[in-house]
Amino acid sequence: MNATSSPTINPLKEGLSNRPLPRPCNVVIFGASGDLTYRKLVPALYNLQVDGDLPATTNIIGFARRPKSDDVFRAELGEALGKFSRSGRADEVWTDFSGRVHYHQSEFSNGEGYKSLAEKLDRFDAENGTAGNRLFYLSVGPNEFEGILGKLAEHGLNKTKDGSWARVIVEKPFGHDRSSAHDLNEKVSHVFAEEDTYRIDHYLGKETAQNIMVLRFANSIFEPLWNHRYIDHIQITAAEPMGVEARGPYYESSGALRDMCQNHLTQILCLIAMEPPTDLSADSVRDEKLKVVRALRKYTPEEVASNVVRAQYGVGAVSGKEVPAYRSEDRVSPTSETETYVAFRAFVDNWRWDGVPFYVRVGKRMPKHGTEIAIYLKDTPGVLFNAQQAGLGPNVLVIRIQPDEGISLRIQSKRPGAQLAIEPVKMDFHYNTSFGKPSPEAYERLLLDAMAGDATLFARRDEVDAAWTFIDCIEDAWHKNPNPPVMASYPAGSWGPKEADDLLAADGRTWRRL
Amino acid sequence: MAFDPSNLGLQVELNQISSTLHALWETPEQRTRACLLNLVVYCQGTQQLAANTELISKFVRNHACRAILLGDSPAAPVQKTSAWVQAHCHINKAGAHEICSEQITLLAEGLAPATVANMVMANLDYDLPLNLWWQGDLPKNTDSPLWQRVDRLIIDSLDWKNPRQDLQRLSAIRSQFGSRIATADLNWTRTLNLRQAVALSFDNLALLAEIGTINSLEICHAPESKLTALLLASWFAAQLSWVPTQVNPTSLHFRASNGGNIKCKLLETAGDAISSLSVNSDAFSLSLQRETGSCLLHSTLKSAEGPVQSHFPAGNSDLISLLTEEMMPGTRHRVYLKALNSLDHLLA
Ligand SMILES: NC(=O)c1ccc[n+]([C@@H]2O[C@H](COP(=O)([O-])OP(=O)(O)OC[C@H]3O[C@@H](n4cnc5c(N)ncnc54)[C@H](OP(=O)(O)O)[C@@H]3O)[C@@H](O)[C@H]2O)c1
Repeated sequence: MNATSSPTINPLKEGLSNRPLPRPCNVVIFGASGDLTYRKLVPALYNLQVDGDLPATTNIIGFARRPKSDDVFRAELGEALGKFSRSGRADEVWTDFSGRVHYHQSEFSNGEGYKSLAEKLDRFDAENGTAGNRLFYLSVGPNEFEGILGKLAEHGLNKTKDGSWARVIVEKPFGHDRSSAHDLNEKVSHVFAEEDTYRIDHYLGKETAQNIMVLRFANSIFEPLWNHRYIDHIQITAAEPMGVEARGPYYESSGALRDMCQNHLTQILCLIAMEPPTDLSADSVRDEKLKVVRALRKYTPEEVASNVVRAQYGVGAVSGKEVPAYRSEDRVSPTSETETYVAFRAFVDNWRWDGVPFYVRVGKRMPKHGTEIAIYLKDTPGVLFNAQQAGLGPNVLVIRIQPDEGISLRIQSKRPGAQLAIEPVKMDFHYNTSFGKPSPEAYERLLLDAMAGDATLFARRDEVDAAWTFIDCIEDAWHKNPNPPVMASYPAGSWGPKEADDLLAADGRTWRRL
Repeated sequence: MAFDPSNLGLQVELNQISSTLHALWETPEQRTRACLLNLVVYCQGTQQLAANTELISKFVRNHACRAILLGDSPAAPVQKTSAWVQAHCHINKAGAHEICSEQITLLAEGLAPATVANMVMANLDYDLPLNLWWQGDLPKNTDSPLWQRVDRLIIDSLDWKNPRQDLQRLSAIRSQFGSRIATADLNWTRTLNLRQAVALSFDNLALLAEIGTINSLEICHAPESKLTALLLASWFAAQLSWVPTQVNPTSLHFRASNGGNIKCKLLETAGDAISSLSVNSDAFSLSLQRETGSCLLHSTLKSAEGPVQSHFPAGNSDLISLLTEEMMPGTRHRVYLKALNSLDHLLA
């Protein structure tokens, strides 16, 4: 057959499905004996199979260092699945699925390991018609990227045959600052083209995050209000009761700002603040998000001091249990200057958001787990009801990302009775109860998209770069400044330091209590 | 067989349906009523009520809805109405509370279509889309107000006893309501996985280059599934701009826009609705086969480059899977309507 005068559009694909339709492929997970593989990746692939979305002949190859047989690997994954899979484990599906899971033991630096991996993949291609389609998942720290990518290239594993594809998914953290992210991007780009590089941000795979665009652009009720004329301010909160657990060394080199804000919360902020894209293609959506990150006001060191609060948790209690201070955690320096909490006031300097503050806070050892966006509308004029009853609160639209994904709207309502008493009521929408079935896990959607070649929910190189530019000016003011702002502290189990409350109080506002 | 209403729930007077449903939700248990759509299931008589209740109880796991099951016996000698209500509940996450959907069953005996339509209309959940699953042959008359409210008409063309007549009725419904009513044909969904597998095979650029050289198709179908095979052939014709030139009981002939002739053989074989399909040209042959009960479609592509085997998901062909697939929001039926135009010629 020759492909010279090929039609470029496949007429048979018209209108087939609005779900991604991946071609059969093989998935290689580097770091397959790690926590992420057991808790998230394999359960996600399994649930894709349960839902009939995983191509039937997909093989999953786990690449890691410690010796292990296929059977032991499968048994361990099967046990983990019982704990971490949203649909539990059905024996029939598991038998079929696990038969296509393989363990590949090798050091990342060992060329022989890649040679035998290439042979294995070729064999699977020949047996299963996977046609050379490969998805490499780097579930490893960024310091391992270069070595693995180099070896993949050395063994031609990044090369595709006619009509097939090879893609790479990279996990966070993607760099430590703009310059290291740039270096990392360079290294990746020598081996995989940008369109084959999928920088995962699992927040973007969450249903509610995906629903932000739908809420804004598929409903005529919100968009006319979605600007500085009607919105007073926006609060984005990501709270978790956990401390650093066993990840002390990683956290010491990262901190809350890098760990959460450079990626997840910036992405969420972009979805809230972006203009409508011209279409839903990956690049149109990401072009609009990029404009938002670029419009984020960059602070001077003095402005950082008055717009950003960093803090560390001290001793306290979470869920009724006493917990140690951050500096006493396992493998954390007793003089650590790493923040476990950060709150800042950001501005998106464009026409739509002129003067609207975006207050962002993220912290560990908070009283409860929750990520949400709260959009505060401006008060009604101070006549009629607002004149009679002081403190009628504003309308607040809350988008809950996790847990209990959903949306609620606070409105004012008359309390039944002869007296005119007004009270706020909440209109609540819960994903799980409204749709009668649980949302898929973020990793399911993201893995499926990567297999199907849809990069909309993945961060593009220029987005990552622009986000680091914003984060770097804060990090630099903290770490490269002769007079850095103080590190505040808060008791574990509280909602953060007093300084964060003061940040909002200065604007006449308060943080939402979750 | 005597009519057994035992799985239809609580029998109630027609005017007490909504108060009985309200009472269901006033119990202190941790139960949440969920509803995203109205599903009206129309069937003739009482025979299918129990089986349809089973289907509904499974369907609501993926699509929370108000289901109204309607058994219609217009020719019954005595006018009579009966009603039952029940909730189908399931736990969606360990420890989370139960999610429930309501089912109302209505039995209409000896009533005029407009009266039956009013009974249904009175029990719809307000402001939610109305999906009407019409089982069996389509009605001649669609003037009742119920049809004015339908958003999606679900049919299974395999149930049609007189396909030509039903196709004409469907076309009349389309001209009466235009694109306001989307049509979902479960028989079309039966071919979905095959269509997907064929379409994905042509993602291979070398194969795509040869798409205009296809000169024969061979479709093996179960004896009762000829209409499924014809729909599949219609899809090829519609998407590749083939015009039917001759229709015989076991073969169809088409002309492509480049002048080439295509012969489509229809072979009756026991087993799945469609057990195999092959698409051939002088340059390649692509064959797709499904063993009975297998969840995979085995594909073999033979060309000058040698044979390539691959697998595609075969999907489930039980009614619930078909219905669930059809109810995926946003499923657009432009391609189906194009295929129907071709099917019209093939039913001659
Ligand atoms: N865990 C999470 O929830 C989470 C969330 C978001 C992002 N991430 C990111 O995802 C990545 C992986 O996280 P993780 O928690 O799964 O890490 P982990 O538990 O530390 O696992 C690391 C994996 O890498 C393998 N490995 C390390 N060095 C190796 C070498 N030289 N040769 C071969 N294999 C080697 C280990 O194999 P052996 O065990 O055989 O030595 C193990 O499978 C990290 O970048 C992390 O930041 C994790």
